[in-house]
Parts: sequence; C-alpha cells; structure tokens
Amino acid sequence: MAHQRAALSPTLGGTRASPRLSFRIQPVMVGALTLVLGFMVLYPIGAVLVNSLLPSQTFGSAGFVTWSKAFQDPDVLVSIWNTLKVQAATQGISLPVAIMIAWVLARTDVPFRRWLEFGFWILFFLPALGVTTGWLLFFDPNYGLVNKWLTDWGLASGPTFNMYSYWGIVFAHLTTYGLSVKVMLLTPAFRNMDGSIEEAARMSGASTASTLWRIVMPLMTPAIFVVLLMSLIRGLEAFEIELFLGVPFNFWVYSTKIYQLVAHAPPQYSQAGVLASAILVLMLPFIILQRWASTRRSYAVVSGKYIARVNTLGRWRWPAFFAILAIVLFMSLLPLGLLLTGSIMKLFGFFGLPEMWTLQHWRDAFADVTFVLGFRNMLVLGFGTALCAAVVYVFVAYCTVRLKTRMQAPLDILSWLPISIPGIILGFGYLFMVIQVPVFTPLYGTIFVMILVSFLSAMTLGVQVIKVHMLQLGAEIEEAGRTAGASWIETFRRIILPLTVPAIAVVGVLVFAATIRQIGSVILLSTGETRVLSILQLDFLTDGRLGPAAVIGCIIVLISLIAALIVRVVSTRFGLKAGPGG
Amino acid sequence: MVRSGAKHRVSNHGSRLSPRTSIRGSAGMTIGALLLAAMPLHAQDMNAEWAKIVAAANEEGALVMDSQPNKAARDFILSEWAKAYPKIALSLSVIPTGQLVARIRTERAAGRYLWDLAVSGAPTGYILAKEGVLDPLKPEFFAPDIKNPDTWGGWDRVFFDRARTHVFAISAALKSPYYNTQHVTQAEVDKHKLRLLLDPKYKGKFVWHDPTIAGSGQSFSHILRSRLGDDGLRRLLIDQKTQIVPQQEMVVEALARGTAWIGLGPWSGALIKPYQDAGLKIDLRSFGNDPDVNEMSMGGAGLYVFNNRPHPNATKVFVNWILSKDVQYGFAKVMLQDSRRTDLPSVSEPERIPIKGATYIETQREEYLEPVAAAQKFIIDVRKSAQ
Repeated sequence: MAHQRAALSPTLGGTRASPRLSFRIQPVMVGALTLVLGFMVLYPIGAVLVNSLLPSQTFGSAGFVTWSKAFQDPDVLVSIWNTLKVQAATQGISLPVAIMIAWVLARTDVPFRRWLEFGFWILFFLPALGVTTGWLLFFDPNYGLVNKWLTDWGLASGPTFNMYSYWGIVFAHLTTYGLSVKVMLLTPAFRNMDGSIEEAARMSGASTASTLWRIVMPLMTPAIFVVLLMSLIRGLEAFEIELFLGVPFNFWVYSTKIYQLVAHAPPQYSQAGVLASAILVLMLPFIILQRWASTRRSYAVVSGKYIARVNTLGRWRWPAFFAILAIVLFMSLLPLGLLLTGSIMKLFGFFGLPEMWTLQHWRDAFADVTFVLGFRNMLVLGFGTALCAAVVYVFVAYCTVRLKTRMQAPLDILSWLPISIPGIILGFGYLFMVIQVPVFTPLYGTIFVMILVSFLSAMTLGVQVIKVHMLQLGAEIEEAGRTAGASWIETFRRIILPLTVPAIAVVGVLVFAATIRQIGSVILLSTGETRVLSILQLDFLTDGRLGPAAVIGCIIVLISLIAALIVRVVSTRFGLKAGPGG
Repeated sequence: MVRSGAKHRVSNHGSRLSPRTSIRGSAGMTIGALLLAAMPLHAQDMNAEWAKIVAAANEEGALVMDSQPNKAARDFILSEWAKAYPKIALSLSVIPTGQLVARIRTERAAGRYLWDLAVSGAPTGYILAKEGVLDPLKPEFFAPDIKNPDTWGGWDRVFFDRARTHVFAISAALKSPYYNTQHVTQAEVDKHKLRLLLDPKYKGKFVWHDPTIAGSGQSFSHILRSRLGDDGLRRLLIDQKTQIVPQQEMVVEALARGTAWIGLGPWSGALIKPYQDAGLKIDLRSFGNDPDVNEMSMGGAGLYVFNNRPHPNATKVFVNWILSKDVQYGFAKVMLQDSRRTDLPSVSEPERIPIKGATYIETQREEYLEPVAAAQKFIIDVRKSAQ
C-alpha cells in the first residue's frame, strides 16, 4: 500500500535522489537532454507567439495590431466562448458523478469494485471518434434509433436527440474521456485516504452520507481540485469530436477554428497564432495552479496511521453495483456494439432494408490502398513513438528522480509542460518549425515529424509512470553498484534499467495506444502519404462515408483494447501504477 | 495511328497524257509513295517515343493526384489505372479546395513539391493557376487525336480558364435540381420549373450542397439568383427552410432518407446507385433539359497539372490515358456524364440530353467567377441576417 500514491505528484522528484555524483559526463548529458527537450517543448509555443505578430493577410497589419483586430473578429471570440461552454457543461456534470463513483469504488464494500474500476480503465482507452460514430446510430436526428422509437411510440413528434448539437458534443465528451479520466484519477486518491478519519466521524454518530459530505469531501478537495484542473486542461484540447459534430452546424471551438484558419485557403497563420496564443495565456493560470496544487503535501491523506477500512453500504450494495455497471456498459459496450453494427450495415443508419447486412465495407477497406497505407502509417507512427518514448522517457525520469543537478527542476517542468499544450497548437507550432527552420524542412511531409509531436504529447504521462516506478527502487541499489566499482552509466544500464523494464514496457504500450487514436496534434502535419488511420476515419466521417469510418473505428478500438489489456496485465503483475490513476 | 490520305491524281485509262501531266503525275505518285512509306516510320517514331515516356514513367513508379469527392470517379480511376499501368502506383487524395490550396502553399513554402495533377473542380484550378503552381496542359498531349482540337469541338469548348491553357473540362453534363418522384411529379416540374422551389408545399424539403464553398452546389447560387431574383433566392433560403449541407454526399443521403425531396448539388445518378443496389426504392429525376433550369457543367472533372511536379512522365502518361477514347467512354459511363470528346456517344438519360442548338450557361467558366462570388456573398449575407 505504501507504494500507492497519487501518480501525478511531481514533488516526488528528488525525495529519494542519489547523492551528488561527480562524474563530469553526467551534467553534460543532463544539460544536453534539457536543452533538446527545452527546444522541442518551447519552440512550438514560441513559434505560435511570434507568428501571431507577423503581418496578417486578412487585416493587413502586424504585431499587436493583428491581435487587436483578431479579437474584434466575432468568430474568434465565439470560438473561445464555445470552448468554455462545452467544458463548463462537461466538467460540471462529470465531476460530481465521478466523485460519487470514485468514493463508492474506493471507500465502500460495493461488490466487484476492482472489476468496475477496470471497466473505467477500458473506457479510458476507447477512441473518442469510434465511440461517437457508434452513438450516431442511436441519436442522429434523421435516422437515430432512439429518435425513431420515440416517434413511433408517440412520445415525440420529431427528433428528440441530435448528436450534431451543443448537447450532443457534451454528451460525446462525457461518454468518452470526460467521466472515465476523473474516476481513474480520483479512485486511487480516495483509496489512499486514511480510514481512521471516517471511523472517527462515524463514532461521533455521523451517517455515511454526512461523513462523506462533511469529512471526506473537504479532505479530498485538493485532490479533486487537481483532477478538475487536469481534466480541464485535457478537455481544452478537444478537437475531433468538435470537428465531426460541430462543423455541420457551424459550431466552432478554438481548436477547430485554428484548424480552419490554417488548413483552408488562404491560410491565416497570424489569426491562428493569435487564437493559439490567447488559449495558452488562458491556460497558464490553470497550469500554474495545477502544478502548485500537485506539489503541495499539506493535503496528504496518507498518514502514518493508514487504515484500509471501507464503508458498508448495506442494502444499497447491489443497487450501487448495478448502477455503476450500467454506467460502464452504457459508455462502452453500447456504443461499441453500435459501431460494429454500423460497420456491417449495407447503408449506415438505414434500418428496414430487405438486406441490411454486409461485410462489403470490411472487404473494401482491406482492399483500399488508402486504408492499407493508413494502417501501415498508423503502425509506424505508433511503434516509432513508443520506441522513442521508451528510450528517452526513462532518461528523463531518471534525471528528475535520481540525480541532484541544477537541471533537475527545469527538466521536471519541461516534462510536465507538454500535457498543458493542446495538441492542435503543438502541431501548429511544429508546422512552423518545418516550414521556417531550414534544417527541419526535410521533415515536412514525413512520418518523423509526426513521431516527434506524438512523442511530446505523451511525454508527461510516460515520464510520470516511470518516475513513480523508479521511486520504489531504493537508493541503496545504486549505491551497491557504485560500491562494486560500476560507473554511473554501468549502474544505470545494468541495475536501474533492468528493474525499470516493466514500467518501460507499460509506457511503450500506453504511448502506442494514445498515439494511434490521436488526431489534433498530427492533422496539420499529415499529408496524403503519411495519413494515419485515425485521420482517414475523420476524413470518411466528414465525407459522409460512415460505413468505412465505422470499420476503421472498430479496428482502432480493437487495437486499443488489446493495448489496455496488456498494460493492465503487466502493471498488475509488477505492481505498477500505469495510466493517470493507476 | 490514323493515316492522313495522300491526295494524288490518277491517270485516265486509255487517254493520252501530255508530258507535263505525266511529270506531274509521276511526281505526285512519287511524293505519295514517299509519304505512304514515311507514315509507318512516323508512327514508329511516335510509338518509340511513347514507349520511352512510358518506360520513364514506370521508372518514376508513382503518381500523386487530387480528385473530386465522387466515389464512382475515384474508384474508376484507381481500378482502371492499375490495370493499364500497374507499375505506376497512383496516390489519390480527396482534399477540399480550401485545404488543397492551403496545403500546397504550405508545402511549397517548405520547398516541397508533392503533387502531379488533379482531376477536380474548376474553381480549384483557377485559384491554383493564379497562384502560379500550374503548367499549361497542351504540352502534355501526345496522342494525335488528343492533340487535335476537332476531337473536342475546339479548344474554347474544353478549356475553361480565360487563358484557355490550364483548366481542361473532361465532362459535359446538364445540371439541374433533381427530385424524388415519390413526392414530386414531373408535371409539376414541367409546369413551374425553378419556381417550384418557392412552392410553400415543399417547405423544408430542399437540400443544397453548401453554395458558399467550392463544390457542386456553388454554381446554383448564380443560376438561382438570376432566375428567381434576389427576393426569390432569399425566400428559398429562409422561408423555404432549405437545408444547407457541407458535403455533396449528404445531399444524396438526405434524398435517400426522405428528409429532402428536391436536391441542389451533384448529379445523383451515380451517387444514388449504392442506395438503390442496397434495396432502397428511390427514383430520382432531373428537372429536364430546358436551358432555363440547367447549366452545362463539367462536374468535378477539371484536369490540370502542377508545375515542378515530381513525376513528369507519369503525369504525361496519365493525361493521355484519361483523355483517350476508351477511358473517356468508361469514365462517362460511371459518372453518367458525357465526355467532351465529339467521337463518343452520349451516356446521359434521355431527359438530360442537351437540346440541339440550345445555349446552356456554363457558370464554371472563369468568366463567371465574379457573378458566382457575388451570388455567394448574397447568400452568406441573407443567412447571417436570418440568424
């Protein structure tokens, strides 16, 4: 239990660090690593900012005049407002629900709670676009089955539900990452809470509900706050759901607006830069707050007198189980079943045809050169990113955890920053890099620049998983190596690395699974030759080819689920904390 | 190769020829004989030259093109090209105009020249020509029949850009709104023509591929504005609650699902086929061949080639392949749009065969860019004011 800590606390860096080592090569290596990472992380931010000050085609101005005029453009302001509206609804609904579920899973005797938690784990891995495509068969305003049933039964005169709406977008967010991420983050936090606090409340005569409201919640507020901030930051980079569902009814959020400004003629880099810079500025307080809250220890609920005692639910035990099970199944099996159904329908959403079913979409997909190319690119991107991640993250984690150098703090901050940069802005910044920096222009149109961006996108999570594992390794292991005469490199290679292999393997699979489904960070860098399956799926969806899109969705879901199972098995076997919550 | 006939005089049997006549006759015969002898050589030279081009194209091994979103067109090009030139891998992308132009600008700013040619809409071609990224098309023509303007009814008929050099129209098809015969009768269509669109009986039953973006709905903006007037167009957009959809497939989808009865966008003859093949009982008809309700469209089949293209020989091979007689006929049949070759029969349904001698507007020509843009702006303003 001692090793079960909130996975994302960066304060753990340095608490069990090795003594200062005098090898000259070490500061050079750490310095070089910091410089390279610093460039990779900070360049896109700088590029976006600088380009927002360049002459604007639309406004015929440059510098802060461009900024001023861009903010007078109602479309820009509306896109920011829409972003905030979507997040307000998503977080406002998902947070209280997630708190309740996490408390039930971690603090009560609900049956099969580990399996229920595993269900949310699976939800975390499901690709958003695939799930959203599945929901269309239920909630499309023209052919959705639920709308049809309600109309047929006389309960509605027209379509009641519409996925292509503000609430449709919120619903898609809630049923993809909105709820599952919070449950995964909060459950371990609740689990680590000292049970004696609750016990004291009960002995004082407080009911379970009263204890929950007056004792547990205030205690957990800092953790809840951190989770909310993380979810908000993650939610602000949402892209594919809004592109698919929002554009048809002219609903733009900042990420899709940036995409529109850059990817349509004439490219308006200045306005896109203004919008991207504004969002980064808007997110800065969240990033600072989140890091500050994560590094504080005053909210520690893991005391030296930790007691793993759960609350008994009594007659509510099984209703609670079925309620949570219903949520898990509703958000997983239902849309996935619909997605699979859609992939074998002759015409997506046409129920009642004499012959409804066919495997032709599957046959066409595997015979289609664009599909085969997309599949190959997906594997290259996924494995390439995973390999880079496996090699580099372990160094970053080691340097931030085990070494006392001046670069420790900057390196730690750099490893945290990428999660705060929305994917579309990261991709946008790298687009500038391959256009404007001559040494990088050969990378344009190649899969390598996409690997770079994907590598950065996944860095925070990957480094954290390895860090937490390394913290479990005692410093005496390294000391023993050095006492035996091994150099720093040898110690790292022959002692630390083999012990870290399970964590590296988990990170590799996690990164692979995250990379194959991402769209926002690579869409601006993708060309016809490097287009991956996730982008091809989006192209099919926006093109109205829902059958082939469903086929691709099923394939990405299948690969993601296999990855989820591998991570779960390995992390359970080796006692690892994998994923945002572990 | 077609042999041009060598004109020569033949002596009148039994009559006595004068020396001058004899010399002329002999010279003519000699010249004719020489010409006849030279023809096979010339053809052989051309064949040899073509073989070199094809060999070089095979060496290049690839061709990168942008295509219109019509699935039938894409499938035809991919499958037939693979049969004809299996050694030249065709990379075919479907990218909307705005994105394609932006992408090309971005790529060229990075010093990357990734595209060979496009078979896509005319407006895209005009923008690209203005950007200076296209090459004239005629130098790519190799086969004599393709080089011959008579094959096409004159270059003016097939080149749609003002300079008559860059944007080549492959197809010719009458384009009008089309309707679902289960809900709209031909008699009504014949009687009211485009004014049928203002009939309150059909309120909410129109679907229009977004006319404010490059695509199949764009040309209707000018036609409807000129036929119905500003007030009529406003009524169609607002009072008639016309659905505006971002993709042309959605027009056909709406008609197939019955959420719309009249569509403005691509000709659905090819696009509706998958729905009919799947068992959907739906019959779509055009508004007929009256010039008042039609334009002569090139569809999305505008051919243009990029400069600094990475596979110049493969591009040449493709241009001559797609403009060849057999391929043009096959393409026309899958698209249900006539080829612009004058030596091919029509594949259109009877009601879409142009009236002989009638003049049809061609709004996709570059000359119409300004009035179309003005109509698009009008539509944008009307929709904004209604929000």
